[in-house]
Amino acid sequence: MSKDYYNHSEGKTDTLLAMEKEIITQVAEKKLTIRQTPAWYISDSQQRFCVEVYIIQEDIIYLRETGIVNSKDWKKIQTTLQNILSSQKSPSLILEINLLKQEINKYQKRLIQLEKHLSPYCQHLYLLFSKPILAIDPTLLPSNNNFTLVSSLPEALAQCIKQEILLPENKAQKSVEIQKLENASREDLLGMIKNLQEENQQLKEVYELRMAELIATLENLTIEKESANQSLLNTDKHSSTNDIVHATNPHVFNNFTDEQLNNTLFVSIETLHQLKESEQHFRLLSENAQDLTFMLQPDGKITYISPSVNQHLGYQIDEIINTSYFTLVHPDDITQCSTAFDLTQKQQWEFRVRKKDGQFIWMEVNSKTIINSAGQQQVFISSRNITQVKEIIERLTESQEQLRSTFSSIDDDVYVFDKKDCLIASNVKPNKISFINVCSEPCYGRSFKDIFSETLSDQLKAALLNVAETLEVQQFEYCLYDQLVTLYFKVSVSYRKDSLGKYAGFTMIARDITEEKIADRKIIESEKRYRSVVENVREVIFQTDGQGHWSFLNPAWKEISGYDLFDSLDRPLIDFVHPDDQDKVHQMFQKVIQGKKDIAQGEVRFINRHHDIFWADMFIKAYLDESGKLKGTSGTLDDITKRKQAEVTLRQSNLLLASINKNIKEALIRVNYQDGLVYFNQAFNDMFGYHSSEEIQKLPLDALFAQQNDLKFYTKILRNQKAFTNKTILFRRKNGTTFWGLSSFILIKDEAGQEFYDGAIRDITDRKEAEKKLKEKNQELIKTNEELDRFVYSASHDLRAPLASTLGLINISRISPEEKDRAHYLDLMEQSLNRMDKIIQDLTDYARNARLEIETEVIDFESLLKDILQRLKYLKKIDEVTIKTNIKRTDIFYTDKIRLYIILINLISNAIKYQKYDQTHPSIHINITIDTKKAVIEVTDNGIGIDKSHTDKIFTMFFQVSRDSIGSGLGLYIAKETVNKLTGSITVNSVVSKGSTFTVVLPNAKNYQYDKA
Amino acid sequence: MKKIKKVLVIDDDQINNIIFEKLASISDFAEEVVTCLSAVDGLDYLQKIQKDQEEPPNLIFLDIRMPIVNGWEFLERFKKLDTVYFKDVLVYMLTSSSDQSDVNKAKNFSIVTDYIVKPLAVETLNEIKEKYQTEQVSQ
Repeated sequence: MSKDYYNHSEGKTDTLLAMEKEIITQVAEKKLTIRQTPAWYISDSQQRFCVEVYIIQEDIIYLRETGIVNSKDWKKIQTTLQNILSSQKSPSLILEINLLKQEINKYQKRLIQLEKHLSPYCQHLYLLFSKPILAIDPTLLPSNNNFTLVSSLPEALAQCIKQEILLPENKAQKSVEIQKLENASREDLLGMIKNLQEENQQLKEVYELRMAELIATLENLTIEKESANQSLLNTDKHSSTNDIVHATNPHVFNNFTDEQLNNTLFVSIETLHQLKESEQHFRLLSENAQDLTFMLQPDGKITYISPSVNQHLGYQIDEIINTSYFTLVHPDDITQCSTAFDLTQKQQWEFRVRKKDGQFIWMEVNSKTIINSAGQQQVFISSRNITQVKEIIERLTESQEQLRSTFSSIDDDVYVFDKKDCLIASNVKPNKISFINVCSEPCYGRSFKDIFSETLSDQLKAALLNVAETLEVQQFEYCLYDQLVTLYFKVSVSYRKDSLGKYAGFTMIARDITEEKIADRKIIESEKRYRSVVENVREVIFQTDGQGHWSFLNPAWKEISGYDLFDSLDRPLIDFVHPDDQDKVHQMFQKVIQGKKDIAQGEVRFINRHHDIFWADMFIKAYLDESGKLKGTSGTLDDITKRKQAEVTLRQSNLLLASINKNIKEALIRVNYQDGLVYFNQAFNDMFGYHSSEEIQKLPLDALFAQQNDLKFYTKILRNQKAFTNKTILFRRKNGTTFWGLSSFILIKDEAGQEFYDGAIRDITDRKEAEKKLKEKNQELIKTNEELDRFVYSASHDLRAPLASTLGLINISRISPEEKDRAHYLDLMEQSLNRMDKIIQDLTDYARNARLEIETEVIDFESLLKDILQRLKYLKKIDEVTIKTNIKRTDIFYTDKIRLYIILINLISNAIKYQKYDQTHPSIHINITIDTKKAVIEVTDNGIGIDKSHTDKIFTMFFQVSRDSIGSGLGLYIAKETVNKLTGSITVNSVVSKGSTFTVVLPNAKNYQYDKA
Repeated sequence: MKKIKKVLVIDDDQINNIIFEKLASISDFAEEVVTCLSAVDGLDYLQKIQKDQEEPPNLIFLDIRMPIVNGWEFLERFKKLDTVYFKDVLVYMLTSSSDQSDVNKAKNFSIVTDYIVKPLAVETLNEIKEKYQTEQVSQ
């Protein structure tokens, strides 16, 4: 831009060049010299060197080396300059070096150092040599654009002015309006240039006026040699200029010898100094009309005071004139003040001066001792109130300090760039990962394009363009890939302006947002995860709006209902609910929407796409936006159809179980070794005779077993074999009675590893009884079998015996010739056949008793006995026996007549048969006693009797004591069998040779029912 | 030819004894036939003749089914009598039982020579007589 501007200002350049030329000419003609009181003196303690610092304008500093300054000293100078210049904005520096001929070589080095030390603080450095006669090889000088070798101060000044006018930045410092030019569009530019040209013209006029004044002063200097006292007292601008005129002894420039030349040079330099002072004074006076000026006598008596004394210190001029200056100075500063008076050289001081009201103000004091035309020594003091400046400086220092500390302490990385895009400051610490590495490479003073990565530079450039357009802070994010980590920065770029509002570069602040980024990413990831969960869960997740219309559904809805998500969304949820449950769902919605409940839950039937019912466990919750306003509901549906079905099945199986439990005869129990009986059914209660569950739960298991060690024994079996089946165990009921239980047990472990013995017990008392009966029956059968064997054996023998006898008799009859013998044999045959007949009769009776049903009827004992005796007529001895019958009855007697006949005929026939041979009065007594319950029949004889050893055997089959009489050996056996059949009893009481009594007791069937079969 | 001197018949059936005596006389079976109606009577007789030092019977015909003491019990008790004195006595079972168990049981008694099922015939007695005489000769 500056170049453009330069091109557009060619006319001006010409003017300036002409002006410069003129200045140089005038300086060469020794017409132009500058004299000014130096602003600072820089010196070491030994006063070995001295550098005078003149502030010609705020942007032109003139340094004059008066002693020999070596490199070490320059450091100090540099520090001082730094302080001075810190308040200046890139001034142009004119450096006058006091160089001796023999030092030229040394100075090469020094100059380079100098340039290095000073160039950062100035915009341009002009180098001037105190002794212009010395030839300086320009190639020895530092090759720097900012470095210009000039031959005289006017030349330097001229260059400065040229520079200022040429460079728009400098111009901008002077004129705020010009700054607008920078930002102006091209259309405005020409107009601006026009204004600028006018302004330049004005400037030129000002300058020309200043020049004219200076030249006039010079002319006065050379022409007038009179004291300026009068004119000085006479006032202001011109008079103050006049008082400088007193400077030195006038010299005449006519002698041109070497010495004279030297003198002339010296004088001209002196003059130049005076000029400088004069110019500065002139400037001070013209620009700072408020300054306070004193003229003192050497003893401090005030001979002149400027009228502004009233304004500054509150005194009237009359009050001050002829008083001592020292009375005004703060006691602490008097020493310093006196020193100022001793020095012949001009000095600048700062000390406190008392106001009329007693307060002290800080004043910057320039003093100069002047010898007036009368030869009197006078001290000229120009003072300026710097109290405010002091305060400002203090505050500035303070705020600078604050700024510095803030700058270094802030976490964000701050990069400060100047207007040439060069990094001038940064708070980046060496150990920190940032855009630059302050350790490995030099960064300061380099363009961001060189120190930043390409991408960052590009982003920064783009941001800068935006800043230029919008004049607002621009931000962008930058990702820094370090070796180990990836860091994210939020970079803010803003323009920086100087105190005049002029563009001074830009500031870039980089905030490390890595953690935020990571957090953001985590949120994104979590959102992703959440989404994935929502999409994949089996549960339906939904949202509805305030009206209960679906606003969100996850894919599970399709899985469960078969409806497409797209079709379902925006439809009312209630449409999908089974009509019977719609009221319920409606109430659930109302509850959460009205805030009565946080969450509503219910088991709800829905209708799927195939019009089938499915059950869902539904949760709904009010769904609020960030401000807590109701937006709708959110909730879940869990398909519990299977559970519901399982519940139905379970309920049914529970019912079944209950029904089984109620009807089953088996006792079902679950036993835990620690807790005892943990489950038992009703059958258990019934079987063991318990009535309340409580008494069973308290029951020690031992109490259930009838045999002492059974519990231990069966527990051991269970432990070892895990199960047993159909063990017959004798149990004990509550009342102490016992029963046989057929038991099957199994050992089961639940999920917790606890052992249970599950078992079933069946009461098999009945079976046991049956078994017992069976055993008895078997015994009986065995007996019967034995009897049958005996019967068959006996029958074969006993039936054959009479037959064989008969055959034998026939045999002998055939061979016996005598008739008498044959008749005898026939009798014997008859005898044998009768016996055989008897046997067959008995066998028939036996079979009849065994086979025939009991047929009861009223018994007429008298006629029955009559029939029997009639039947027994064939017995040999029957006629010899006396038979007596005695019947007592209190009731009619019912029994089986045929069986009673069998019993009686056997008993009576025995009583007849077993009479003694020698019995003279054989007799039989038959006593019968009948009552409602029974009949007792006693048959007593006075026969042979029965040996005690035989009484057990007489009722067995085919037992025969003798064959004295006809007998089958079946009689008593049949009698006993028949009595048994009639559930009666038969006993015998007998004494050998005395007789026997057989007693039969039969129940009266009138009141007694015989079992059928 | 040697004649059978004495025969003892033990049977509780009187008819049987009558028949034996008649048949023995017809066949000239023995010089003397002694009959007992029970085993007890038979044993008493044998003990008596031993005591009196009479000739022991050459043959005994024994029924099995008898009251009080049956044929088998008789044999047991007979074995316990003086075996030297009765060493030549031959016992024939004469019974109406044709039961094989009885036949087998009889074989277990070494003193039982043969088993005869009633009715007894003259031929049977002749065979026994011939056999007895042959055996006596061979001895």
